Order: sequence, then C-alpha cells, then structure tokens
Amino acid sequence: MVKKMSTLHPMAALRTKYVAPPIPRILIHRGTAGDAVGVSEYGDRIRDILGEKAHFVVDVCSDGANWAAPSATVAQGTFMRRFERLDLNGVDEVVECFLGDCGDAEKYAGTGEKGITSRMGRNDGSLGDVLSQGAYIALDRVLQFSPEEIISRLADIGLTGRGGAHFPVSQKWQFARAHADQQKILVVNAEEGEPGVFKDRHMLEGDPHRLIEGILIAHHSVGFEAVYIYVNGQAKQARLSLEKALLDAAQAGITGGECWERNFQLTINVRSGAGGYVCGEESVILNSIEGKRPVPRYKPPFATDVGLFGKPTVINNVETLCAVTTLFDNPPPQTKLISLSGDVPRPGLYEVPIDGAMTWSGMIANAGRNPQEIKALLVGGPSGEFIHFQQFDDVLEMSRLGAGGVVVLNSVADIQHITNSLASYNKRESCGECTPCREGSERLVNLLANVHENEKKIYELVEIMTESSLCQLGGMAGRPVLSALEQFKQEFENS
Amino acid sequence: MSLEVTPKVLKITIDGVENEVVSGSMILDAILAQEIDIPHLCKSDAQGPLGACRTCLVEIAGSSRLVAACHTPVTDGMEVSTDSERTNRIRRGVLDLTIGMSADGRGQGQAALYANSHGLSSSTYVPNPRSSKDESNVFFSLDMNDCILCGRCVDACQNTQHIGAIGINGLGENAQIGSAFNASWRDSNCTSCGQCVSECPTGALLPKTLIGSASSHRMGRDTDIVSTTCPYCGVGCGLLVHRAEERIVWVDGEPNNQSSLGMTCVKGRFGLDFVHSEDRLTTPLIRRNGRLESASWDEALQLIAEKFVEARGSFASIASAKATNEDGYIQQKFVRAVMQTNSIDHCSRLCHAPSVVALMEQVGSGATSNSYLDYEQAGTLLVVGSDTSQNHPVIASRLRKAVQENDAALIVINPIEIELCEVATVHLQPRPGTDVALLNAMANVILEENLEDQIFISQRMEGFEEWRETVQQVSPEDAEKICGVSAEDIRRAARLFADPPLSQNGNPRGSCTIWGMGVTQHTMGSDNARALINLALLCGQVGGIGNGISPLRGQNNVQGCSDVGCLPNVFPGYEAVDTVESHDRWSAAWNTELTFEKGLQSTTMIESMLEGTIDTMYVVGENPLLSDPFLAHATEAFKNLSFLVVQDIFMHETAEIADVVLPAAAFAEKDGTFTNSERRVQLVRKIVNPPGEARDDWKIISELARRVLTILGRPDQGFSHESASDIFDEMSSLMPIIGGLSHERLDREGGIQWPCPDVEHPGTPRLFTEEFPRGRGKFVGVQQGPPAAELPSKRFPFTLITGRTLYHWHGGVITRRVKGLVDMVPVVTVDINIDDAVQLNLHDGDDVQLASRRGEIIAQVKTGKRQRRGELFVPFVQLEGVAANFLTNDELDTLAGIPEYKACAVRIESPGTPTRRGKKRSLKNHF
Repeated sequence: MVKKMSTLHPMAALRTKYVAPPIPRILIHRGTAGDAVGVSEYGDRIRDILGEKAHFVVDVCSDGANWAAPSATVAQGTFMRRFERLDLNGVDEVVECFLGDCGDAEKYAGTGEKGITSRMGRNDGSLGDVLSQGAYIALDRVLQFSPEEIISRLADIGLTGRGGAHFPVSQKWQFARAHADQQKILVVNAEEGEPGVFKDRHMLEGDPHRLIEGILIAHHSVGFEAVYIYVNGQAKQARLSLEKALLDAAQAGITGGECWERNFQLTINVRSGAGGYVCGEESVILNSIEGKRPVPRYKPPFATDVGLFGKPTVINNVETLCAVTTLFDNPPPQTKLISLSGDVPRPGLYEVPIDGAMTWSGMIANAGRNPQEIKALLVGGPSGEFIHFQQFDDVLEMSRLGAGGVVVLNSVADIQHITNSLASYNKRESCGECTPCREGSERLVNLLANVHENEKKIYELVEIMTESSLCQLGGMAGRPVLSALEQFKQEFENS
Repeated sequence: MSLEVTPKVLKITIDGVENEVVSGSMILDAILAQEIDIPHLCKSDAQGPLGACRTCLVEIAGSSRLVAACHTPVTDGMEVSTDSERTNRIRRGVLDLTIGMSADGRGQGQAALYANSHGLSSSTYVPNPRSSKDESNVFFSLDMNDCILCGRCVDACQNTQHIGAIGINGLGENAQIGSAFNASWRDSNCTSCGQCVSECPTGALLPKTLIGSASSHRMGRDTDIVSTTCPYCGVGCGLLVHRAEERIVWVDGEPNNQSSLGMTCVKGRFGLDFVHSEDRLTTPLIRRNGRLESASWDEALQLIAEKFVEARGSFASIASAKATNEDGYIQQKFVRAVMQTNSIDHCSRLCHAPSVVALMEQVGSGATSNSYLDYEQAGTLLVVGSDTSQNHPVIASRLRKAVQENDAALIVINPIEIELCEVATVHLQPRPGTDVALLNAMANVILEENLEDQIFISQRMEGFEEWRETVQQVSPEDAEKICGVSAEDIRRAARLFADPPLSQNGNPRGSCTIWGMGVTQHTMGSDNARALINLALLCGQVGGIGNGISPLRGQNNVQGCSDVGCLPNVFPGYEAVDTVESHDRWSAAWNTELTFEKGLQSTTMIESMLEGTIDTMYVVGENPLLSDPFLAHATEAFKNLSFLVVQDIFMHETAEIADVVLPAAAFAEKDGTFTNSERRVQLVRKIVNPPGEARDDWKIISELARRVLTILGRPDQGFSHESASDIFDEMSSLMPIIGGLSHERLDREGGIQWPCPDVEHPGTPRLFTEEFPRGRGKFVGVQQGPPAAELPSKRFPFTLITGRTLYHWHGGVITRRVKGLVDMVPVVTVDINIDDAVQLNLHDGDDVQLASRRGEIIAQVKTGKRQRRGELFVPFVQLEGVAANFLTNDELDTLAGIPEYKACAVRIESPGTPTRRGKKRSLKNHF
C-alpha cells in the first residue's frame, strides 16, 4: 500500500503556491475611509506617472489612520513611509520616494507590527499577500494540539471577549464543547451597530483572513457544524472583502481542511443584518438569523446551551476571534482595538496595550491632542461612561472599554446635551420587547429635561432599568446618565 | 427510541420554606406551587415564558442580580426570596412603568391588581398610552389604550395556534399589536380562535360576544369555571367554561387537556351561546290539526309510547353523534331491547362508514390508531381529503406545529388548495374521484424503489403478493394522466411518506396518515380508504411513535356513538349482532331476547320509508332533511312516515314535519362523556340548567322505554338509572374497551384513551403496537373506477365538491344561532376558479344559481385559485334556506352506504332561471 506523503509542510506548500516574491510597492489606502475622500484618484495619478511601473502600485485597505486619508504608503522591505492627506503635490512626493528619494522611515502612527492589526493596510487582500505576512501560521500550529490543549492555552493567556462583555473565551468554548452529542454552531458578531465603533469593519476590510483563521481555530477547539458571520448591513465593503477571502480560502483548501489532509466539515455562511443598535446584542442576532423579530432572548438558557436553531452556539465578536490568532505569540499581545473619534487631530483605529502600559492621557496624546485641553472621554457609547479628566492618568483596562468606542470631548463640549442625546438614542433604539427598557428609556428622556427636579427619580428609574431589563441595552442605558450626573453635576445645574 | 427518564427532584427554598420540584421547573412554577402570588403578567399557564414584562423578579441568595422567575430554572439547593425590600422596590418600579402605559394611568386587569398589591393605585408617570384601536374582528376588539405589550397574544397566535395572524409591529416606542402590514384583523389571516383574547392579562383584547358587554371576563366579575368538552367537532377540545348568573360568559382552553393543549377554535370559544338562544325548544310539541302545539311531557310520552308499541317491526331510529355516550347507549338499548330491532344508525354513515368498512376488513378495528401527539412526533404527515383548518382547526394547529417547529414534511392530497398547503412540502391536487389511482401509484413507487417495510410486511401482513400485482399496473405516469398530478410529484410524495425526514437530532421518525371526508364521501369511498390504508401498511407506518392511521372524526362524539352501539350491525363495543356469542351475552345482560337480524343503515332507511316497510321513526339530535343528499327525495321519504318523533334542542327541517317534537337538554345542561377522534373518553359537565322543560336525552328515552314496557306488560329492563354516571357504570361493566373507566376516574385523571380494560390500566395512546385485532393486517387490492357516479356533461359542465366552513358547524342548525359566526359567513358561497369566473363574467359577490339534476340553489360567488377550472366548492351549511344538499347526488358506496357528497355535476346559471331539469323523475323509478 502506498501512503500518500506530502512532500512539503502544508504552510510551505501554500506559500509556494500563492506567495509572490517580494517587491517594493506603493500602497494606496482604499477602504471606506479612503474611498470617502476619493483616494483612488490619487492612486490613478500615481499609476499614470509611473507608467510601465504602475503594477507596483496596489490598492490596500485603511491602515486604521482614517485621519490621514487620502493616504498612501511606500513599502520597501521593512521600510515604510506613509504620505498623509495627499494632494496633487503630495502625489509627486510619493512617486519620488518610491523611486529612491525618500527621507527617514516613518512608522505608522496607529497600528503596530504585532497584534491583530499587523497586516491591516499592508496587504492587497490576496491570499498570497497575507500568507507572506504570517496568516494561518497559528492555525497550522493549533492543529497540532488537542482541542483541550487549545482551550487551556486560551485560559492561560486570559483571552476575553472583545465585544464589550469581556467574558473568558475559553469558558464560552468549553460550555458549548460540553454538548458533545449535539451539532454546534459558531456565530460571528460583526454587527457593530454602536455609534462611533468601526473596528470590526476595519478588520473585515483590511484582514478578513485573520477572522477566518480565528474561526478555524475555534472550530478545531469546539467542533462546529456551521458558522454564521452576521455582518452589519451597511458594512458593504466589509462583506465583499470577507466573501472574497472566504472564496480564496476555500479554493486554497484552507476552510475545507484539505491543506492539512483533513476534512473540517464546516459550512460558513455570511448574513447581513438589517440594522439597529439592538442587532448587536448576541441573542438578537440569533433571532435575526432565524428570520424572527429582532428582539433579545431571555437568559438562561444561554446560547452555549440553546442557541441558533436551538443548537449550542458560541457567539464571538470579530475582534475576539482575530485575537485568538495571537495565542502563541510570546508574550501574547494584550491589546484592544480602540475606535477613536471626537476632538483629536488624528481620529481612527488604534490597537492599544491594555497591560498597564497605556493611560488615557497617553492615548489622547497619541492622537495628537494635549490631554490638558480635554474635558472628558465618552467610552463605550450609549451604554458607556464618561471618563473625567481627573482620571486621565488611569491605565486602560479591558473592563472599562466596552467595545472600544472612545469619543474625545474638549473643554467646550456640552455634557448635558451629549447625555440627552445618548438617552434619546437609547429610547430610539430600544427594541420594545421588555417594559423597563421600552417604557423606561422614554421616561428617562423626559426626566432629563428637568434634572434639578427629577434627580431622585432618575436615579430610581436607572436602578429599575438596570436591575430588571431583559438585555444589557436596557440594563446599561442609564450608565452614561449616572456617569454624567456624578462627574459633571454642575453642567446640569447651570442649565 | 429514547428511554423514559425519571425526572430528577430538586430542592428549593422559597421565603424560608423548603420544597421539591422536578428538574426543568422554573422558579415561578415553584413559587406558584407554594401558593405565593408574585406578579407575572407575560407568563400564562398555557404557554412558555416570554420574559418581557419583567415583573416576576426575585432575589436568589448568592446572586448579585435580580432574576425573572418565569424563565430562570431551579437549581438544586437554590434559595429564593420573593418579598425582600429590594425585589419589591424594583418590581414596584416596573409595575409603575407598566400601568403608566394605560390611558388612565391606573392600569387594567392583572396589571392593575399587581400594581395595587405593590402599593400603586396609579402610575407616578403621566399616562402614555398607545391609542390605536381595531374593532374589525366580529368576536373581539383590540384597544391599545389598555395594552402593556406583554406579547402573550402574539405568542398564542404564533406559537400555540401557529396561525401567525398578529405580531408586534414596529420597535420600541412604536411597538403595537397588529396584523401584517397593519391590515385590519378582519382582513388578516386571523381565524378568530380567540386564543389571544384568552391570554390577554389586561383586557386590551376583549370579547364582543358571549358576555354581550365590554366588562372584562376574568377581571372583577365573579365567574365559576366548569371544565367540560367542546360540543363541536371530533377533536374534543377541553374547555374551561366561565359561568355567571346561569349563563356562559367566556371560554378558555383547558391547558391540561392532552387533546387540545389549551387551544380552541372560533366555534369552541365564541360559539357556545346557542345554548342560550331564545328559540330553544322548551316544551314537548304534538301535531294537532296539522300544527305543532305545546303539550305536557306526560301527554307526549304516552302518545309516543302507544304509537311505538304498534310500530314494532316497522320502526327505526337515528341517534345523535352530538349527544353523550350515555345518551347513545340508552337509545340503542331502547331500540334493541324494547323495540326489538337493530335499525339504529347515526351520522357516521354519512362520514366515515367507508373508513370503518376498510379498517375492519384490513386491520379489524375502525378507530384511529394513534394519538394527536403522534402528529407532532412524525417525520411526514399525509393529509388526504381533509381541509383540516376548516374542519378540525385545533388538529390543524398541531399539524402546523409539527411542520414549523419539528420540521415534519407535510403532504396534502386534495383537489382544493386548502390552507394547509401554505406549509405543505408537497400538494398533490388530483381531479376529484381519482384517489385510488394516485395512491396506488404512490405504492408502486415505493415498491419500485424498495422503500417498503419488508419486515413489517413479512411479520404482520397478508395478501401482499396479490395486492402487489394490482398496484404494479399503475405507474406514476399512468396516474398522471388519470389524476392530473405530475409523476414527479407522486414520486416525491411517495418517497417522503416511505422515508420520512429525520428529527432535528437525527433520529428516525414515522409517517402519519390522516384523512377526512374527501376520501370517504364517494361512491368508491371504501376503495379510497383501502388504497390509503394499504399505503400505510406497506410502509409499516402504524402502531409506533409518530405514525398511525387517523380517520378524523367529524362530530364531537361520533367515535363514542359508534362505540356504544348506535350502529345497525354491532352491539356496544363492536360485538356483531349476528354472532351467537355476543347475541347471547347482550341478551343476558339486558334480560331479553335480542334479534340476530342486522338493522337498516340510515341511508337505506330512506328507501324503506318510501317502500313503507318503515313507518315510524325516532330521530334524536339529527336533522336528516338537511344533511342527507338529494334533499327533495329524502323529504318525500320522511313525509311518507305515519309517525315521526324528533327530539332535539332546536326546531329544524325534520322537526317541522314531525308528529311529536321533544325538547332536549344541550351539552352544557347535562353530565356525561364524549369520546373524541383519538379515542379519548372525556367528561361533559353540566354548566347551566336546561331551558323550560327540556330534559336530558337519556332521561327522555328511559321514561319512554318504561312506558312502552308497561304497555307491553314487561318488567323494567334497566331504564331506571339515577344519573349519567350510573349509565356509564353499566356500560363499563359490559364493554371491555372502557372496563377501567368511570366518571369518577375521568374526573380525577382527565380524559383517558380506550381500550382501558381495568382500573389500573393507563389507557392506550396507540393501537396495533404488537398485532392487529384480526391477527395479520391485510392488503386489499383496489382499482380506479369511474371518478364519480355522475360526471360533468355538456348540460352540467362543473364538478361540485361540498365540505365545511370554519365558521359553521355541519348543517348550521347550531351555528346559525351564533351571531358572530353568521356575521363571518352570512350566506352560502360558491368558490370558483378565477379563470372560469372571467370566462363567465362573474365577480366576487355576484349571486348565481347552481343547478344539478336534482335541484338548484342560489350562492354568492367567491373567485380564487383554490380549485382547478371546472370545479366548484360549496359548503353544505344551510344559510337563508340555501343548502348544497339540494344539489348533491344520493348515489351510494355499495359497501358502506355513504352517499357521494364530494362530486356531482352542476351548471351555473343566472338567479331565477327556471328549472330545466326536465321531467321530474318518479321516485319509484329512482330505485
């Protein structure tokens, strides 16, 4: 009997097949942010100038530095220089740099080389490009371990969910895995309906293969029948990139397991959400995928026991599954994606350390603003809290970041107006399923019209909503209100 | 097959008191079991938790968050506090928000009650109601001013009844209860079952009928609740009837009833006020000088007794499948033991006689083999000739549940595109009367593809080889030509039936065979039933979980009426009248010499009346002059009688020509039992007193029997029972199939399925698990004959199909007395294919005259695509003097004696077109 032997290691075989020899390139940062300011015109211009060398110009996604758009990066080996806020003169500069007359290498302002954004804005979306930058190496290694070993590794590095609730990933996987005799499902939460958060769509636009790799690691660890990736209905570019990557990965024998001479027996489905803040709530996603009204399910039972179509279901955020791919990094990068907006010169996507190395002040300074000019941060959106400037020296902690949306508020920002807007938002986005949220969020808006008179009632109502709401949208709706009242009381009194 | 798992017992301490509950219980179950009442507005007894109202909050020791008791499972050793300061404060806050939704800020119904018990007489917020109203439904109204959006009505509609007429439209502050696209309820697919009204905790949904006023049914008003069994169709739904001041004021479904699981249809919920109808018969009536005049009971009964004594030998009787088992038992006992004839029959002759013929021949028992529960456990449901949504609405709900929740495949065989087709996997739409070819072709496919159950056939069947030859002659392509159904669809259906889809957990499942009058009411009704039963037996789909053969019974007690012997060929318990053993047994039991001679079937009674061999009839609870085919003919026969006694609750066509009319008590006015389509014997309980002098049927018959016996100088042979329960005891002592049952046991345990031979026996959900009553089951080869006795012709180009409509019962004697039901369907309609309508220039609402060789009626046109071109559908209810049975053909199936209600030839003409039937046929020539 002749046993079929693979002459090359699976990863080596993949690289041989897909990876082209490295060449110097000009990276045009397309993606939602770049396209919004017409970056492709500059790309075309550069191609025109380069003439027969135009093939060195490639379209890539945003590198997270949305503020810099329209932008392009000259990449030659480890040399990287980004040209920001391009204009027609800037285009000439890019070309000059590429052709050999470049200044000092300048590092990216936002994302780093390690972490989950290491390939973002540096690859052209092709399988070969991401393979050359390390994609699927973690998966290849994971496949050499047992599922128990992987789950235990995730427990050791303390990886928690990045969607806002920071629940331990190892535990969630283990809960589902315990249903050994049942078919299980993985739902990827890419809804990201929270205002001011744009990390998942960046991940999907800029490095969808990282998500696919994370999915396959989860599959190896838990054993799924099917995966449903629930993408925000407005994130059209994200869905297109994801679908292309899924197709490439399937054709390359990655999602099917053929590369490793295995059969993963997994179907991966992409679903678009129809919109609404509540659609990011994990049990709402289940109802939505099942074609039901977008309202939360009561818990218990938890999705890991009774989830999509009644089957045990793991629901992980895009960022969480992307973070899973770093499980063998040493040390594991303790980072969180921050969607930074507001009054800073450099808004955009940042991957920041949460291991104690970064303070709020540091984050503001990174984005080009003197922290002393800032009154507060709104962290976690409509379910979040205000960080008073007196706390800016605190280090970033996972538990305070929510999904990672941070709005920087300068000294003239109107906290009362913002608070009222958040309350109105919660009222508007309440799905209406449970009484405390549906009725309470409306009452809260009314009570905020006269804080002076209603302060006690506001505290009572928020407690009721927090304690009794069906899901965390109602449960957290009062959080920014109390946070504002506690820290910026005088702004309400002055009105 | 899964093993029964003994439920685990968990300990829970509630407010310091320790209790035990079974694993899987929710905290709220345990709290309510301990008779502690905490608010729970969105959790009903009948439905699962919704978790929407957030008022059942409790505190669990060791948990920082309050939890909703309705959906939080008990864990062993859990300590719960229902009354802490914190829970009361938060609950009060939620109730405050809740009653703030009502227009007066005080809340309605249970919301107000619980708010009050938490110290809130009105909301601390300014009232903020949603103010829309929908008054369009005939039976109930919706007022959003009182709605708290708990979602129970929606859950009832979608997940209990599986109708899906209403939902919560809009999100958040815009959320409203409504139907799709905010159409009015009247224009939606709402079936007016009222499950939503039953669930509404505030009275935002309020009945308009029954109570006659808007005062809420469960709130504030003192009502007694009596558990009884629905008097309409054979499903046998459990009803909780609310009574106030001697009137039925509201009906809830009985959640503990295993047949109906808390459901009712529109008739069970809103159709009971016929009991209080002003035109109930209240005194005996005797015909004097050509007119029916009031008389005393003594006068009437004495007259009848004297006439009946003379009529022995020329007497026949029709029993009622609407009366109780006890009534029926006493009537057949009277007919047999006193009148000394077996000529007693009932309406099953007109519905399932062919099914019984075929079942007796092939398996040896005429009853449904399975339970309704099996429909929900099946992988495939084959529904043949049954518009279940109209005729057996609650079974239709269970079928939809099987499809929608359990992914069962549904095969509908029906010439009409019935409502169930919306959820069907395959709809085979054969031309009327071509079922045998279709079913044989399905068997052919199964054999061709080796999908038959060979072990079942070899171990439990006989006659396989001979039968196989008959079906091998019919290929799907042959059937396609005969039936007009594509061969590919026939193959698909055959495969689904023989090889049902697996369960969601990958376990094998069975196929249920369900049929109605579309199979039986044909001149080849018995052959249709045989072909269908052959198919089930071929696949071994009988006797197991999730399979079985089910002729759906039309009337509430048609099963029981047959069980207790209201049939011309059998004693109670299906013992043949012409075998020595049973003859001797029953003669001894009733202390008289019974006759060996089989009696007349109801349809042959007509013939005997015309011939004069029957001159005296005793008709109880039936209106043959509406329900018989070729009514003009039947009327002539009845008019030929020398003495006719009709006993009923209303005056009707037959009673109008009677010599004596006796007023009977309605179902709500007496105790007794009904036996439903799944052989479940269930109690009927007295709710109100009968009007005037009306009496229980069995009491009237017993008194009559005593008088006849006195005249004959014979001693009382057992007609002096004290109560219905006494009668039942006599029945159970003589009928092994109900030997273990008594009213007392049924009261204690609820309905029980026969056979139940002794008091320890739990009843029998499934028949034929090991063997058939006749030993081996039998394949009986049948071949397609002419589709009908009367085929369309140039003069009568349309085929008329008759059937029922949801909003009326049978001939309409009862439902015509229910205003809401009449409002829904006020006139007889004729469904016609839109293309035919266009060709004939007919529009919705036009009146047309339908004429057959036997008569003509006026009907209102309803165009659509429910039926093929060339086919018409008319419900057989009589409305405003119009009844389809003036048209239908009285040609009979020779074996079962059932008339061909399902196919006759008609034409469409303008109203008022003079009769052109030609020379009236002499009735003598007719036979």
